[in-house]
Amino acid sequence: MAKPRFGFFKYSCCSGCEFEFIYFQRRILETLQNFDFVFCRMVSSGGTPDGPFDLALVEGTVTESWQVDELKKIRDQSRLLYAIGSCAVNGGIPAIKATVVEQEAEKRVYSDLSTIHSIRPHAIDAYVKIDGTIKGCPPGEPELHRVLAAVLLGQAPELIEYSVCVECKQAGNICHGDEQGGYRKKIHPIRSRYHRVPQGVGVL
Amino acid sequence: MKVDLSYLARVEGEGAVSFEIRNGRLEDLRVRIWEPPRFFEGFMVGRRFDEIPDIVARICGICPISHMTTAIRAIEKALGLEVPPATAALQRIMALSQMVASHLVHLYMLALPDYHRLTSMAEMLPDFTPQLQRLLRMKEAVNGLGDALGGRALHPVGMTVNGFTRQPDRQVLGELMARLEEIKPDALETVKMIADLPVPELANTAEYVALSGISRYGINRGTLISSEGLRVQEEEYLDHFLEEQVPYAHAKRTVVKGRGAIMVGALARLNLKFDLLHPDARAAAAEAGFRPPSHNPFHNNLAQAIEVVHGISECFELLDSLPPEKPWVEVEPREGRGEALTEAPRGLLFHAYTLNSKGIVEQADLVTPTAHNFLSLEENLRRLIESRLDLEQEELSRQCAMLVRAYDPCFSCSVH
Repeated sequence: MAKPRFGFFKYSCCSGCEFEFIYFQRRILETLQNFDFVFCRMVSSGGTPDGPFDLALVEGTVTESWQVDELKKIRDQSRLLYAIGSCAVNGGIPAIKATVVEQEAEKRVYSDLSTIHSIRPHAIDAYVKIDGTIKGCPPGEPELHRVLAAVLLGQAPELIEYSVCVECKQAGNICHGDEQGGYRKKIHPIRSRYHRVPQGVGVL
Repeated sequence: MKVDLSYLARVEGEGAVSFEIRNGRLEDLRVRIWEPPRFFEGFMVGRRFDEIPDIVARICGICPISHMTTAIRAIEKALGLEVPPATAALQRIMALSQMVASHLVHLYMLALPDYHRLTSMAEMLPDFTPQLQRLLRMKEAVNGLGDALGGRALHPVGMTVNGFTRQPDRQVLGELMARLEEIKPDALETVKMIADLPVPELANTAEYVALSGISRYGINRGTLISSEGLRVQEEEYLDHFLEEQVPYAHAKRTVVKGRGAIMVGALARLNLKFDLLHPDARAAAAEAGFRPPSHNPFHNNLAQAIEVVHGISECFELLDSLPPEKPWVEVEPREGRGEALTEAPRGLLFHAYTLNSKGIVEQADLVTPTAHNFLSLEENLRRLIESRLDLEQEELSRQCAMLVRAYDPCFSCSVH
């Protein structure tokens, strides 16, 4: 049986999901052996983004218009298209920019904006229909493996409905978001205009 | 002849190299870093200080710990925090474990296929199965450190401005040390494997810049030193370095004021502070025939392999001598400014924050290793191409891509 044709695409993000996929997860050997890496820049040179793909994973927030054009092409070429990671699923950290005056944020970084062509950040399902999501920043391994195994078996994956935070809490981790351990005892949660998230733009 | 390596593979992020050879002359050489900007310095203004580490982690999926640690140290300074030795020790273990992890993924998965004229690690199977299994053993032990101390290796949840949210228990520390002990021979094998790869000849002239340490290899703090005699404290960084916008790249390009190109990263560190390396790493270097200084930028790979040995041996010792107190302090917001310099896996990383009395960020400034290396990468590409004008286009392109990979650039970081 031919190996499933696989593509991994990156938009505006930290590439962490691709690193999770090629390095941090524990089934790298099986992943490398069982998929045909048609396009995955971090793994392979000489690939083609033209497809077709049995499975395309897309990470990152859409923040430039060429990404919209390419994303639509990938959709047309892919049997299954999944958003992987918070950026592609709901906008993630780069979408914080949508909560401030965007041009002001741009001007703080670049004195000459003539070479900058950013559009308002969005998750990928703002532009194309997706077949599913692998949530988290980065996603947990169980969910990633469910999707990969389902594709290899030709079945529909049973996606995990709860957030990656559940697995993290089960592991006993305390994070910045917690009220445990006396954390935030002295700092009161603040409510500023910067912390209000506009409808349709998820942050974490 | 027009060459356009428009989407470089096996590097972190999105960048290209383009140039033209006209009448035997090299023209229009550009490292076009087209990675889309995300404006971290722009949208962090208005966020509260305690959110910053988790936000900046997402600048980079391979060196989140460096961004978190640098931000945490800068904010510690802005808030005037006294950090317990246990916190500093854990921060150092996290940074070293990430340095090893980052070097391993670069050496085995990104750089190695080139030297065997293959396109990917997938193509290296099944012939290179023992090497890949060695990588998997090492990464499992090293990522275990980030998992145990930070909650998880990629985007750890336990590192905050206050310190570490959880104190590792002694039994876990013992298990981590046992696993590190097991992979020490693998690290030495890695140095041998990389030392045996033939590299193209090339001589860098850019100034080497790194963080020195007093009695040990500077990672999370230290004085900035260079091969041209620079001695700069982190508060004075902006007086000595200049970051410029480049018309063909979204990354900015950083130079030493009044001089020019610099080189940071593993090779620069070994050239400047070899004597502070762990004895195990110095022994491995001697065995591999590496004698500092080396001016061939392709030796950055070998320097990384030597640092893998250093990181594993030092983490082992740090775990063994971890101070027993809580790695945690209470924090109150206050007005202030803090700057911090650290050694990320790819070299010098700078973060600065100005906070108001409520602890809200009023200004943020970040300079990444790849911005520091940008000009020297272009200059060394120029030198490489000009000395090989007679090569076929395919071979010339291959060597250019190999040089870019030897720098182990992180375009995602550089644009942020």
